[in-house]
Amino acid sequence: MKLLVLVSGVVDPRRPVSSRVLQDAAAPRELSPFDASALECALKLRDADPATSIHALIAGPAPSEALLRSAASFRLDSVRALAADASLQWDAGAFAACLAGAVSGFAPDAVLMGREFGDFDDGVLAPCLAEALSWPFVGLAQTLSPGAAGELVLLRERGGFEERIQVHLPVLASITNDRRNRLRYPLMKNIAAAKKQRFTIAAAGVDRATLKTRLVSLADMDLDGPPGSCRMLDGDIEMQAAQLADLLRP
Amino acid sequence: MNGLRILAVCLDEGGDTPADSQGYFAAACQLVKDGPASLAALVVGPAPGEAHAAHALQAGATEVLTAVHAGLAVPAQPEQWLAVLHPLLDARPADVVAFPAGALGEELAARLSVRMKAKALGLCSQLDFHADVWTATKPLLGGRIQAVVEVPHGPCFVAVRAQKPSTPSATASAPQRLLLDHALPDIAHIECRPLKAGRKPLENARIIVSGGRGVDEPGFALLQELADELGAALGGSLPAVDAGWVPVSHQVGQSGKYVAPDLYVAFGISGTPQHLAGIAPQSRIIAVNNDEDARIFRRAAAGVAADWKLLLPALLRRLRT
Repeated sequence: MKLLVLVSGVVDPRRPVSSRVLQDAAAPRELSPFDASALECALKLRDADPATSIHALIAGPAPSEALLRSAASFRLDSVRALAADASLQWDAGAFAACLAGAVSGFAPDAVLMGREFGDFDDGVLAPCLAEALSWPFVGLAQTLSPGAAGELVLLRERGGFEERIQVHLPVLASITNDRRNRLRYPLMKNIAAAKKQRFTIAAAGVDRATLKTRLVSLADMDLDGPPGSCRMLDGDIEMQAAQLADLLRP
Repeated sequence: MNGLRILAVCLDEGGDTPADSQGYFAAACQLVKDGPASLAALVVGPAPGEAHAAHALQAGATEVLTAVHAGLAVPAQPEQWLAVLHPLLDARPADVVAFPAGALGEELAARLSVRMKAKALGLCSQLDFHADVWTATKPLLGGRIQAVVEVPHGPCFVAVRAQKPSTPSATASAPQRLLLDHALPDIAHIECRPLKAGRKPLENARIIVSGGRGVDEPGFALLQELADELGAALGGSLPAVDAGWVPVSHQVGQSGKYVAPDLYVAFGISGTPQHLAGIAPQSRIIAVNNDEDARIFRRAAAGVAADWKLLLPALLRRLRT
């Protein structure tokens, strides 16, 4: 089975987010939790069948070497980058069409990608890409395992149910975080090998004149309440419990 | 009204997850702030309730169509919904097609936008229309960032989050009901089994009791008791999900679900921006944390700086007497 993992990268999610950093193409990017989950799902499929090949395509406006090395440190069969015009991030349909062309070049059996692709996607790109490819789509999958020949089995929880979905290949799956797909640590020897690797960054073949969606502004929003607006319940535990019970009772 | 036409699609999936059509239609109605816009509603489901049409009319819809296809499976399978929705939307051109935010609505909006050669704008809180250009306001990263994007005029698909209902006025035609029975895609390859019985879904819960890294497995059992006592749903932060104390389908936050309860009761949650991004700004938060400097107290309306191991049993005793 030939797997293609699409990776976008995000600014460090552990640091305070700001519109300035998000727009800084030079700000360091790392695998998002969803990128990492998609990569781990691919690695698990390779664990189950060593004949599985894994290819990674890092796509976005700033596919950094660090991001490429992060992916390469898992001993993938190939790691490539596609530099996409920043405007594409705001036009899911155009970005999906651009990625569909790149995906076709790999001719994979399955494409795995995080449920959100980069800092600005809110889950639109993966289903748009599946449609652009005219492939079946499984959204928010949590685990994948090999099925019968030419099939994959995907599990996800949705609306109070666990779904076990058996799909014929090809398929595009968006992966959500789950404790079963937390990305493993790469081996030191593979990290060292990735450091020596050379990468090619291709430019996305997009006619910029056709990109009409435009970012007007990006602003930071303060979600905190005014200082001192939280009423602290005081007293000993019993007094606090009594006050809290009064607040919670309908 | 010679203005823009908004078509708000309400998905009544059936099962135990009721559609919050009142807040959804209110949000769809308020989506286009500038310029005249008319709201039409399309309610779809295997057995959609009558209340949805009433909520659409209350929000100001001038036309309401309820389309029933008894063959739609529960839980919802997107392929079947696409087969039902595509012809319905083809027959009802609109400038903006809105879907409710959530896994099903967002997937359908994105896929249908490609099939119908429209723009996919994703989650939007506001749309403005000037000089043949859409200006879309998008909350990103759980609302911590706001993007404004310009898109040339053309049909677009958006997802909207429920809002508090307002009271607009409109002259409506009588709601219509359409029974569908065309063949739907086969879903024999999908097996479904219910998750743990009695676990109330987060979607549309009025009260959510939630726990974080500061709680532990026995603590989550007590939180479930508290949730049961309050008729609440049980949620958790990412570390609690990672620890296996609560399933991922109950994760609240940027990488989990966006929830909008009236009351969010947080135990042992520090209040990272990633977690708070999953809670609607209008939700009232009551927080319990032994660190009185925890960030969650900056968003909470009320708080208790205490050890949950002492407070939670005392609270349960109080609520039961």
